Amino acid sequence: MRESVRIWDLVLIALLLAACCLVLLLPKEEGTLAQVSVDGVLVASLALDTDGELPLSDGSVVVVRDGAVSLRNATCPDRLCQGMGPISRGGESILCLPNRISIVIVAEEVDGIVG
Amino acid sequence: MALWGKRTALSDLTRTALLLTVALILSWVESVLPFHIPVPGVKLGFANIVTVFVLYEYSFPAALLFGVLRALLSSLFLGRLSGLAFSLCGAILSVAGMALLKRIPLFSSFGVSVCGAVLHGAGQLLAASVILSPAVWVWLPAVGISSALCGAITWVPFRILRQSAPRWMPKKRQNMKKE
Repeated sequence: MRESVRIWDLVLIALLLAACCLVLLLPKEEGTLAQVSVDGVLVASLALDTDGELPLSDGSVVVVRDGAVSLRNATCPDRLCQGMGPISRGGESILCLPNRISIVIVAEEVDGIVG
Repeated sequence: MALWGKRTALSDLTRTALLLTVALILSWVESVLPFHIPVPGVKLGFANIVTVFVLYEYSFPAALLFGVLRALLSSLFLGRLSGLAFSLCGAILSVAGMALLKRIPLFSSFGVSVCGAVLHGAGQLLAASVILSPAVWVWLPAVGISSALCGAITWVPFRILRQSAPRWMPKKRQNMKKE
C-alpha cells in the first residue's frame, strides 16, 4: 500500500502550483471600466472616474469611489465578495459565486477582457 | 450497475448510502464552522476525504458516481443550488484527475489527494469562467495554493480512515471468495 508521502508527490504538486501561477504572468492593462455581470449577462459598464452606486437585483450595491470599485450589502452567506474590493487595476475582479455576480475591471474596449 | 462490486447487492447499496451520509454530514459540519477560507470557492473539503476513500476502496466509476451524487445532494441540503454547476464541474475534474494519477505508480495517495483538491478548485473556476467571465482565471494561483493546502490537510484523516478500514468495513464480496 503506497500510503506515505513520496518525493514525486511533491514534484507533481510543485509543477501543478507553478502551472497555476503562470496566469500571473499575463500582461495587466490599466483599467478604466468596471463590467458588472449577473449570471454571465453584462448588466452595466461603469466608468471608474465617475463616483456612483449601482444597486443589483439581489440587494447588493456596486460602489465606485475614487477610481475603485467595491461591493456593499452582499446578500450571500459568506460575504467573501465584500472583502475582495476595492479593485481598480485591469483584470482584477470581484466575484460572488452564490449570487453569480462578477465585477471585472477592463480597459476601454469591451472585448479587451484580460483573461 | 456493477459499480460497487461484482454485482449490486443490497450491501453495496447500503454502503453507498452510508458513505454518502458521512460525506454530507462532513459538508454540513464544514458549512457551520465559524471561519471561511478567504478565496472564492475554496473549502476545506472534508467530504473529499470520503470521495478519495471511495476511489481507493472501490473504483473510478464508483468514485465518479459518488462525487456527482455528493455534489447534487449537498447543494440540495445546504441550500446552495446556485453553486451546483461549480461543484459538479469541480467534482468531475477532480475524480477524473485523481483516478489518472492513482494509476501512475510514482505517486502516493498524498499526491492524489492534493492534486484532487487543486483540480476541484480549477474545475470550479472552469465552470465560473464559462458562466461568469473569463476574468475569474486571475484567481487560479490563490485557488491552487489554498486548495493544495486543504488537500494536504484532508489527506491525514483519509490515511487514518483507510488504514483502519479493514476493521470496520464489511469485506467485499470478491475478497471473501478468494479467502
